Amino acid sequence: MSKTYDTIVIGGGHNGLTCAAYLAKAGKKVLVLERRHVLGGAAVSEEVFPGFTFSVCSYVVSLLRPWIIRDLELARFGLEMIPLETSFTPYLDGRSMCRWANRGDSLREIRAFSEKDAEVYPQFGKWMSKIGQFVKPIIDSPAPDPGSFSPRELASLLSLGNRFRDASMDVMDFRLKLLTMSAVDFLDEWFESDALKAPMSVSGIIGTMLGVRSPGTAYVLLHHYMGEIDGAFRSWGFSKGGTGGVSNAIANSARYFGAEIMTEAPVSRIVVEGETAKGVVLEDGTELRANDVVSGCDPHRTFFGLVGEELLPGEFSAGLRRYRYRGSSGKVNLALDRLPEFACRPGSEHLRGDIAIAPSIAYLDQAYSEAKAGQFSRRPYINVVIPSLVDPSVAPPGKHVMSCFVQYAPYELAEGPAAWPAQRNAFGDAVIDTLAEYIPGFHDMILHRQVLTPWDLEQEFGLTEGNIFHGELTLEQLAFQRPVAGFARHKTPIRHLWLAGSGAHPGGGIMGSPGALCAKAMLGSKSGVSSGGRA
Amino acid sequence: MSESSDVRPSWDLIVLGGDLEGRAAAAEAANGGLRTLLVDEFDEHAGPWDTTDLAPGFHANGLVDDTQTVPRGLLANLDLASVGLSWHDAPTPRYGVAPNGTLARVDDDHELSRAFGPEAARRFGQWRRFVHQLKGPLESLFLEHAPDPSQLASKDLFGLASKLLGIRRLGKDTMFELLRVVPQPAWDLADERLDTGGFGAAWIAPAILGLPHGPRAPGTGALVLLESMLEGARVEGGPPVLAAALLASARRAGAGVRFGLGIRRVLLDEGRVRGVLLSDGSECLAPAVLSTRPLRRSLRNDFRPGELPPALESIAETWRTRGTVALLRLALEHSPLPNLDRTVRVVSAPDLQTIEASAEAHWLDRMPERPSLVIDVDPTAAPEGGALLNVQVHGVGSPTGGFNDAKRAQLERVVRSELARLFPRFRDPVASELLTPADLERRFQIDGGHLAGGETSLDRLWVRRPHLALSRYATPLEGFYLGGQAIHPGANFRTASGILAARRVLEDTGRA
Repeated sequence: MSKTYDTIVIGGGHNGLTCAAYLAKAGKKVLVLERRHVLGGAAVSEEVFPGFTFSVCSYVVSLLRPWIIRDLELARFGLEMIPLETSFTPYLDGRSMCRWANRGDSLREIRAFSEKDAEVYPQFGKWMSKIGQFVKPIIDSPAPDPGSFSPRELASLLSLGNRFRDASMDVMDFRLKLLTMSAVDFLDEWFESDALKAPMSVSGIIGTMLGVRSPGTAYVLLHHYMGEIDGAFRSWGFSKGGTGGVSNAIANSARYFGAEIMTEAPVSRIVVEGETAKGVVLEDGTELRANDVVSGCDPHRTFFGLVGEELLPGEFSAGLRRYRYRGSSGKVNLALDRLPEFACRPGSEHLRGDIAIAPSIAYLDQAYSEAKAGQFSRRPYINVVIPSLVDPSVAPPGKHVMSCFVQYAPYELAEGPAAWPAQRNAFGDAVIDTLAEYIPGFHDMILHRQVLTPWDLEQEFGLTEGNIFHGELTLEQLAFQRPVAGFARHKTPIRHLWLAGSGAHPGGGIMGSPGALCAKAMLGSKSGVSSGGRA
Repeated sequence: MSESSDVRPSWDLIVLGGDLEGRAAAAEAANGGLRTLLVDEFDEHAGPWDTTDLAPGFHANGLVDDTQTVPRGLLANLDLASVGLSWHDAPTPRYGVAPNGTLARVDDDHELSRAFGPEAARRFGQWRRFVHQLKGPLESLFLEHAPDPSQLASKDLFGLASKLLGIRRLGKDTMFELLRVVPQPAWDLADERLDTGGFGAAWIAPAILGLPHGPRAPGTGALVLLESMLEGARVEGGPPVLAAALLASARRAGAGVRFGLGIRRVLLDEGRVRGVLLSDGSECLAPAVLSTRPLRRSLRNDFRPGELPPALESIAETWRTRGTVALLRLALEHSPLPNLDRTVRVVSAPDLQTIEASAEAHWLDRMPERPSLVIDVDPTAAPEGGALLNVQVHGVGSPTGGFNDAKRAQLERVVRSELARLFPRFRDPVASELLTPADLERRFQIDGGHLAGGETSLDRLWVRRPHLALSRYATPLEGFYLGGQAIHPGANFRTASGILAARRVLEDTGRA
């Protein structure tokens, strides 16, 4: 037994830290407990090899909410964003396409593949940005609750319906399409060139065990257009020093507001007495008490790992059992002796953003087919970034770090997930061999490599089944159904236990929304912190 | 109704397309008091709705295989009983592959329990109760006009709100379950509620046949739910009898009928419909034309270039009809299942992965090694002791170079070897016929050879079938209406879009 906190936050990932910062800012006495020696969870920077710092897991900052940046004064606490300026796709036939921040340049590149596509591309961006404005409020506010008959909930559902209707028929139709279509079908309605559609479509499958032809994958395309106006890539970026820079800025903010943060403090269980969370027990046996406990871990780890299934209502745990993870991706981090050069386009101007190895839809079909059969893709989709090009602080002079997001690497191998360690090297080789087809002499520039399979993501980062979003971002696992229908507002069946990670609404990505919305729910809740704690 | 031209139109409504939807539309409109003309390019007894003789004594259905999906209640105005139609109330027995490799019924508690274990029977009972509970509320969404979201506070929206409230009243849990099932992959639905082996496969495979996807595709849960809602009442005598009865009802109510005449084009006058020009050069005038013909074909062929408003032009462009199903009809002297007195349905896939692999073959330009088959074994269409096999093969697509003789032979071979594995009594047929999607398109003049008039993925259901602005039958072209399987509620409810479209015309002309 030791001192008591208002709130203990389990997990120093970016969402847990965000939640802690908001609570601390509201005057609560908050303690954050992180299992590892570094903060950030999956949004973490580590010097994996001497002199080479990697964004080990999550590698780009997508939708970090501007209001969170403002509320927590993150710029002041060291957040520095470097926009992703280019999106480059090489093809094996010697051609390539780069989309630039400057639209005119992009159109010129697209025109080389299709005159027609270049013509509609700007219009596409305009539509997407327009629709993005509709979605933004959804990821910025609590999930709707269609299960409630309370006038307030009905009114909020009605206003959601009205927002939907407050548009022309075409716009409404476009929204429905985006939610339900496959990325490829959706892009087919606009574009003809495979070379353009393939790299665009992959944003729909990232982190999910689906193919680019699977219905429901079109929606994620929108995330690329939700930042600024006109569909440029400005909403996506690197954080200086790696994605850990985001976590560190949030942690600094939280500390500034008075939160206490402990690393290397693994929690072994959440103390539950009479269906109420009372605190946590650390692995070293220390017990810490708090009025509220917040978990930034994924739902599986939180409830089955830290609470224990026997303490959960049957229906809730049945719901959690059906909640799907199905990790589908891995990560390969490479320390390079020099800057790689693509055979199809020498130079480096086009490598400052992201590089997509997605040469055709058929290539992606084949990659998915292998994954469904329980193998990693022999020729996978790879999203490559070379942050050292824009942020020299992460590598020694002249050297570079290359971070490869790789899909598909299905958690569920045909031989079972435990077969992953035995296949880790082969997986790493497949990724490097794939890249070597585009980059002459690639094998020789590799100084070190770090290969993270979904198995490793689970073991090392606590991501169940290696899912980078704390559970699939599919329609039936979003909004009021994330993670279990009726429990999307961060509250759980255990009183005073809250869920603040990506397994809560609105889901994964470096958004910060789940953490911030959780804090707001707690501060506004009668049974939460604001009551002064009945415990 | 306006009388803008000098000549009084001879008809109030011309219905294009003589398939079930067209006939149902003509009958509903005529019975509602409209002077209605029905036109189709096929001969009355040689269309997709009729049978052909595969061999002496073996009658193969055309395109319409089954009348189980026809929502009988919707046909109430047509008094079909008086023109000789009767319904047979037993659902088609369904068989799947049991864990021991034999075929077993998957729609019967006792058989399920014996072949798949008591847990399968328990789950099936639970699933049936869930479906039964939702049947009423869902039918109210599907068997009535789709709501119009642009009409502020209209009766449409109140109607929708009350229907949704109806679902909510079933209880929070049922509503949450519905909201989970609809966008879910059929795979997950089966995993959670049936099984991922032969039992689940037997309920999943038929439901997703119209898709270029397998059970892993999100949104296929909705299709399984819709298919499970079918009560299984069938028309005695099958599709030809239903087609004839609908036509008889229309004729009795005074409808004109012209078969064997193509549509040269829809006649327009200052942006509104004036009538139809037929292939024999005759003009039929009417202020309203309802097309139940295949959607793309109708929009592309029945108008002159540039005549279509942008909304119709764009749907003609984007309507997806990738036919992925081939039909193989086999005339067997000896039924592969003994002692049958009625059609039974057999699903060949022993598990969901087989369906997935079969469906994805479409995209990988390869023949599925073990194609997923939905087989109707029909003893009534064959001489005594024999059977007609109507096999739907999922995932054939259009291989590079098309279905040449070698590819056709290969497809028929893999299907037959699957049949031999399934039925120990299977012998070579006395006659067979393979219809690839391209064959289906050619023979029956359907878009892309797609059996459901267009893909039935989640984005093309209900208000989005075929588009939010077109799912209520009226179009931006004044006087031009759309019905047919491509329009809400579509292929899952045969005849329904025709009936509902006709009702829309009746409403618009003040007859409803």
